[in-house]
Amino acid sequence: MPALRRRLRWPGWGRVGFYLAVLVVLAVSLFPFYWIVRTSLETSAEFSAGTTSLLPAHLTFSNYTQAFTQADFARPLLNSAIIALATTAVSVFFGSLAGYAMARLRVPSGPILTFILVAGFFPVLAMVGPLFLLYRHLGFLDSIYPLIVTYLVYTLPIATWLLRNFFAQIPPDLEEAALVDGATRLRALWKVVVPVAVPGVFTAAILSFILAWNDFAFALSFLQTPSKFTAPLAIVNLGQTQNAFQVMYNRIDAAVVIVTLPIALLVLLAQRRIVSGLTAGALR
Amino acid sequence: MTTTTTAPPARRFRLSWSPRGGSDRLRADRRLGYLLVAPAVVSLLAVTGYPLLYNLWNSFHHENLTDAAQAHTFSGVSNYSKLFSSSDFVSSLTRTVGFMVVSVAFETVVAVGLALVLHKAFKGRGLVRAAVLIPWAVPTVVSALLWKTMFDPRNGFVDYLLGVFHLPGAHTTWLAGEWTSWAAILVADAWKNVPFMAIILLAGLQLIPDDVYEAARIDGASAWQSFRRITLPLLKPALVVALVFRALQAFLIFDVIFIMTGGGPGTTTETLSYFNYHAFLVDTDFGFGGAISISLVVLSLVIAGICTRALRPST
Amino acid sequence: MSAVELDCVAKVYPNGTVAVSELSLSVDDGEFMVLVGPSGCGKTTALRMVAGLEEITSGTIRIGDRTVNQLAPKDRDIAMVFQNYALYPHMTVAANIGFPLQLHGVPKDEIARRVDEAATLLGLEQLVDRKPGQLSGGQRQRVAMGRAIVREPSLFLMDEPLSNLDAKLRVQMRAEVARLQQRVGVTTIYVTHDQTEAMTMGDRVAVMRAGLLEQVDTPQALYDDPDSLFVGAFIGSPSMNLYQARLDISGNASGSIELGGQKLGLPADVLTSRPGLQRYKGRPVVVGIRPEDLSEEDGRSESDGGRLKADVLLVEALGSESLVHFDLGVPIFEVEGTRSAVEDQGDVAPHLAGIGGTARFGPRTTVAVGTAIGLRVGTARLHFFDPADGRAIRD
Ligand SMILES: Nc1ncnc2c1ncn2[C@@H]1O[C@H](COP(=O)(O)OP(=O)(O)O)[C@@H](O)[C@H]1O
Ligand SMILES: [Mg+2]
Repeated sequence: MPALRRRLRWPGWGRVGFYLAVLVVLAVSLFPFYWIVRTSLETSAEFSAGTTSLLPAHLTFSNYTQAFTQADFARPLLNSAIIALATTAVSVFFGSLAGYAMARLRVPSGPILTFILVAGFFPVLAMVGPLFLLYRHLGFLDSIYPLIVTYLVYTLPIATWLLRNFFAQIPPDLEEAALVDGATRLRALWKVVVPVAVPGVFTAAILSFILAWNDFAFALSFLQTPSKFTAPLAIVNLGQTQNAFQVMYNRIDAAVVIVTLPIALLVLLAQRRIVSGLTAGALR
Repeated sequence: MTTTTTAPPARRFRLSWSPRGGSDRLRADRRLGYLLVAPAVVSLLAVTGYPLLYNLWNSFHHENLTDAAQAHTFSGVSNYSKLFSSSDFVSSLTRTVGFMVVSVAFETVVAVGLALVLHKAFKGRGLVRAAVLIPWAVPTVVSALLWKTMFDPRNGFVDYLLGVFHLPGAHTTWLAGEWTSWAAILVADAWKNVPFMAIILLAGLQLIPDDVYEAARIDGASAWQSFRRITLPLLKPALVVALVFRALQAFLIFDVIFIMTGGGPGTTTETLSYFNYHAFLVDTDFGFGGAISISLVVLSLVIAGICTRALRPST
Repeated sequence: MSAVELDCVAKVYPNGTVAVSELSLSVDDGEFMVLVGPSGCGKTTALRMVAGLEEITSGTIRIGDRTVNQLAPKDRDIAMVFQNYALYPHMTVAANIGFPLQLHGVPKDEIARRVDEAATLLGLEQLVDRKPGQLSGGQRQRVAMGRAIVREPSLFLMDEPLSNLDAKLRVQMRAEVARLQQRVGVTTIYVTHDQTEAMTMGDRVAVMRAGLLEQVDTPQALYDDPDSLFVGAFIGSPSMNLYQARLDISGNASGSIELGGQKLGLPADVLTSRPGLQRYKGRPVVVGIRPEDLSEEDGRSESDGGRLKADVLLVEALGSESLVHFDLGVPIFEVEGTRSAVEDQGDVAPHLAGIGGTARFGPRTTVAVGTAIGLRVGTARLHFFDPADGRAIRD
């Protein structure tokens, strides 16, 4: 039995190779983060002198304090948080309603679902022009609130799809019991179906938040004053307003680290939800 | 030999039932359904359907904000003829398709490997999965600037490595050359998107039952044979999904380009989306930009069609 | 509390399945009505139409003095116990029981009081703070009952509420549910495929088959006087022995049936009490004999009834009685849809199904497997059915 013999003879090497692969995966995923953290802890003088070691000579947090004092980075962070949270709330709300209707009520879910999913692939830059004209006409330019509606194109398709699948899996008995117990359809939805689908609602919310937090193109196109900027836009702006011959990445990377932290935390806490959300969203 | 009673007593039963109509309550259910679907559909129509139609209209009109005199006048197909004869359009289309093909091919191969690693059960797998997901979850701005730092001529890790091993190329200004820029873009894009593909493929792997592998091993298949003959074919549905997603994303690439190279040096890394951005918000030519947008939409549909069609027939 | 009236109610599912046809049934105020029949006969559908969870294709349903066809479930003043209990997994036991009251805007302190009362009545006091996931099957069943009774609705609907319990618990809950219903006195429609449950729990039992109502009556009447072959075969455990036989009526009054090679004499009063039998003179009938109407031939009294010779296949000593499975040399007459239900209950040793028959003897019987015995037949209690349409032959 050749297969068996191979397994008996090489168990150690297979394992070593596998753990080497895991190490490479970890290094490729995480080392770049180390590098920007390292860069962000350098003084401008050290940075200008060029990098010659893996470890920083000594740590300085001045780039972080400067991000908040000189660059007023708190404002864009707040803007991003407001927009991302509001987009998340709206897309989970709209997504629950639409998902429930398609899972349970007799709407022709085929064409509607197809439209919602196809909308998610609509070229973002093709939306920018007309929406720019529209928002200019309505006086919406340079305001963060229209972005909430705009970002639905990122979040609503996946939220609706996920929630529809979750609702479809809940035994119909539960809401029928609620209907008999005296609930209207909507009340059964809010009091029974949504609470039971909490894992799905969470997943939809987390993915919506990440997708809304990550936008750059719309913010770039519609926002003009730095106090209205979202965090990603503010960071890029930070690089472009430096007049120096050399871009001072130590300063920029401090902001990059700040923007990354909430997302990294979210991923660490909700890895399982995100994986299940992405896969349920993609395969089915 | 047993006897059996025949059919139950005849039915005196009339059908007073129609397949579609239904009663008041059924109709009420359906009405409520449409009501609940409406907010999602209307808001998505507002941000996609409206721009599509507006672009279509604009593309047949003069809509340049710097040329108020001709505003809103009909321009026939001039925007399209300008587009198709524009060497910028042709070259950005070529670049975009080239980048799409190369990056998706590269990312697919890496993603399959990554998925195989993540699929295996080992201690700390959850943490490794989380670590892999972080690059996917961070804003593109972050991944682009992060790799810009990594490729910095004097402070980048790439530079550091080349220096440590005394390799040629130290202090290369990567983003100053066309091909080195593309390499940097490719790396930044792959670093962010491979995890996504890998997670999709991972789901595909999880659908393959273990006993298939056990059967193959008993039949004497080597590790490579069972990957080639079992894993890949059974992974095909997941591969199709991942490829379609990624091909479309790569085709529409914008953020990375804008941040890392700004389309430069010159226009050598300008992609279609960047071209479209430029037309809209730098040249403020919404007629010409509309024509680009329409071609973007059409080409996206073509790509989605090709990907699904080409990969559908299963062997 | 109110009476329920189904008038020619039918249900055709959108895919064309006729699940219920022309069901007419009245349930009296306070009555415990059991809907019984083999799986797939339309019981659940009928119940869901009463609940308002399923659209009625045609006919009318009245609860109390209201026609409820177009009423939403919440407006029908009903409570329902589902087969899987349908407890809200995110709520505690107390919240589950109180949910219907909350939906009806009952004040908080009254909800607490009534939930308490229901929990006490059902022995759930210790469990009110648990979530359904932390309960055993029987406890979940009680919570589902609690949620139903707390509202004091005018009608209880229960769909196989005991079928997810193990056998022992099922017997215990059978009594408990029946007692609870008597105590609160709420009209109840109870669906089950288990005829024992139907017989032991129902004030009256409605037997359904393939979407049609076969017979509605008290359990005893169904047992003693089935309207059809189907009811005769479905009700009773062990089930009625059914054989196809030829009926001979000699000139004056008495007659006989020919069963395989044997002749079973029928005294005159058997024929006079079933005048319809005259029409079957010289023709085949299906004769039904309950196992308890077969007794051991003791060789003494020659008086009434006939006797049959049979080979003993198996003797099951149950302590209080012995079930003797025998072979008359005649195949048993099979009735579609009843066999599987009987076998489910484990009453017939599978290798014997379809060959013989069963007799209920005293516990001290000495009959031995493999011997031939004489069976005395209580001819007065024989059942006769038309083999073609399955109707009972009486008058
Ligand atoms: N939603 C449905 N759509 C189509 N046919 C159904 C549906 N529900 C039940 N049926 C069919 O209707 C018949 C009666 O079903 P049901 O009322 O559930 O029977 P029971 O509860 O007596 O087992 C069965 O043939 C079943 O397959
Ligand atoms: Mg049923």
